[in-house]
Amino acid sequence: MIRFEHVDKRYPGGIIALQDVSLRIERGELVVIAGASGAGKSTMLKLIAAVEQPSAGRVSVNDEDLRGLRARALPYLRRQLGLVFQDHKLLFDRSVFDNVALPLAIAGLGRKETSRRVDAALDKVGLLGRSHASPIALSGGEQQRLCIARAIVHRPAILLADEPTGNLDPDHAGAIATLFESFNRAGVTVVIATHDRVVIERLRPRRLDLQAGRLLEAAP
Amino acid sequence: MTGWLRAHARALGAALGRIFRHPAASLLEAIVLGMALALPLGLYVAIDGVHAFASRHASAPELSVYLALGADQRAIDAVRARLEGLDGVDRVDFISRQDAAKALRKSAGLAEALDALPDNPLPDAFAIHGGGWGASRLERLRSEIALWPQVALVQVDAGWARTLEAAAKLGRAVAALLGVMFGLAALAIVFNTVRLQLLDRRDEIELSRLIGATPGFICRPFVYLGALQGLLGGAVALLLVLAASAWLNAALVDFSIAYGAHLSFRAVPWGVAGAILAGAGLLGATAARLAAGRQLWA
Ligand SMILES: Nc1ncnc2c1ncn2[C@@H]1O[C@H](COP(=O)(O)OP(=O)(O)OP(=O)(O)O)[C@@H](O)[C@H]1O
Ligand SMILES: [Mg+2]
Repeated sequence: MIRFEHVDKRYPGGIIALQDVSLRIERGELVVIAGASGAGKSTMLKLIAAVEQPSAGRVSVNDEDLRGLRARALPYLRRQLGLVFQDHKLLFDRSVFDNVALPLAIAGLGRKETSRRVDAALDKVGLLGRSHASPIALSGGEQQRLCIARAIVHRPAILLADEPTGNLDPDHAGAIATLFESFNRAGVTVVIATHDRVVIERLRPRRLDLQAGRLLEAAP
Repeated sequence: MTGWLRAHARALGAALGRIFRHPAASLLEAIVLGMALALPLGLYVAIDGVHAFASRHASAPELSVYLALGADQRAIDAVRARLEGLDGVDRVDFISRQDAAKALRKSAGLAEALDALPDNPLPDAFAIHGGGWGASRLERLRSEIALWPQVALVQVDAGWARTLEAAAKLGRAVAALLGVMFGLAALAIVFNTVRLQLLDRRDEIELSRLIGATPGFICRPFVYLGALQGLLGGAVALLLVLAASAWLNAALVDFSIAYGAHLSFRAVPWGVAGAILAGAGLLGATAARLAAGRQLWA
């Protein structure tokens, strides 16, 4: 369902982030993209979400070639994805509730259904009591979980998480890994970019190792 | 509720929320917009008043023909026939010297002065209404008729009123031009406010695009914001013009009494007020849409 065919990504300025990457991720898989800082993990996720375009090769999602995707169709592709951003992208002038409700507003859901789903999502990440708080009032780990709630609230088919355990201690990182495992068990395709050993050890996922933009053979 | 309606209600709510969260800034903006729109609107109302005043007076007879004091009925009939035969004459009214005296008695409080005179000093006269004679044609007619037998005096009337009427027409064109200019200024004002709002919200906009918002979804609250600001500005403009014309009308009472001519500024009719509000709202929405478009589809 996610396919890379000989994908290169060169950023303006000449930095080569990915080189000849080919892979397939099937529906319902749990995959971790591992690699050192700067290896190209975030770049891979950005290509899947069509935030960046490949310099060469082809990326397709749900059998749809993203290069041929028209600008009008892009928003609808993105609504099938749940994105956990490396830099969170929380709106600090909105409540926790409003942050999580944004994808539902975009999808055009009504008030009642929105509030029901937001509560369910916040409950899953253990933030139900903090609906009315500002994200500023949350700890780093709580902010991370808030991002996850926002990424799953609209029940995406694919969850793309970029360093979802960024600066968490092993206990909390483990809890979040378990959370992703439960989403995956519910049928969501989960792709996590991380170099966090705790996550990898807890999930025992299919692992894609990136090294300086090249994909190494998968290691168990 | 359909999804479409819900999306619009949500955008309107967001725009209203933004206005109520910054009441001072919104009010200030409405006042600036209102002043920009009040200038051409005020000019229009003033010209409308002058025009109504002028056309009331311009419909008075164009030529008055006074006969010699001793003119008899035959002479009167002869002059009437010649006047009616003139090209472009709509109507010829005869005002007998008795009628003229009666009217003068009534209107100017000259009864005693008239009574003091041995005879009625007023001549018989004709008032001639014609269709759209220009000033030069009128002048030619005047000198031609003055040469007729038994005609003592020919006067061109209400020339000033017609000049004023023509000036008012020109003034209207100037007001329309100013309307366009100040409308563009108002457009620029809203454009800039919305542009700043977009900058203020760029994190939210960026995030929304990343998670699948259409440009329309992102744009809509800003377009509503522009429309609301335009509406508020239009309302302020109407209030300003209403207040100014009420104040001027009070001052004009003295003028009217002094000159026996009723000049006043009429209230902006409901239809025009509605059109001003709708136009201002549309202007705001257009400005916002331009600002958002520039940012979102770049
Ligand atoms: N927008 C950009 N413009 C230019 N270069 C970029 C851009 N984004 C990423 N790069 C470069 O591409 C390379 C890969 O970046 P990427 O963000 O994919 O790494 P990463 O594996 O996610 O690293 P980290 O673990 O630190 O997040 C890096 O060398 C980075 O400097
Ligand atoms: Mg990264």
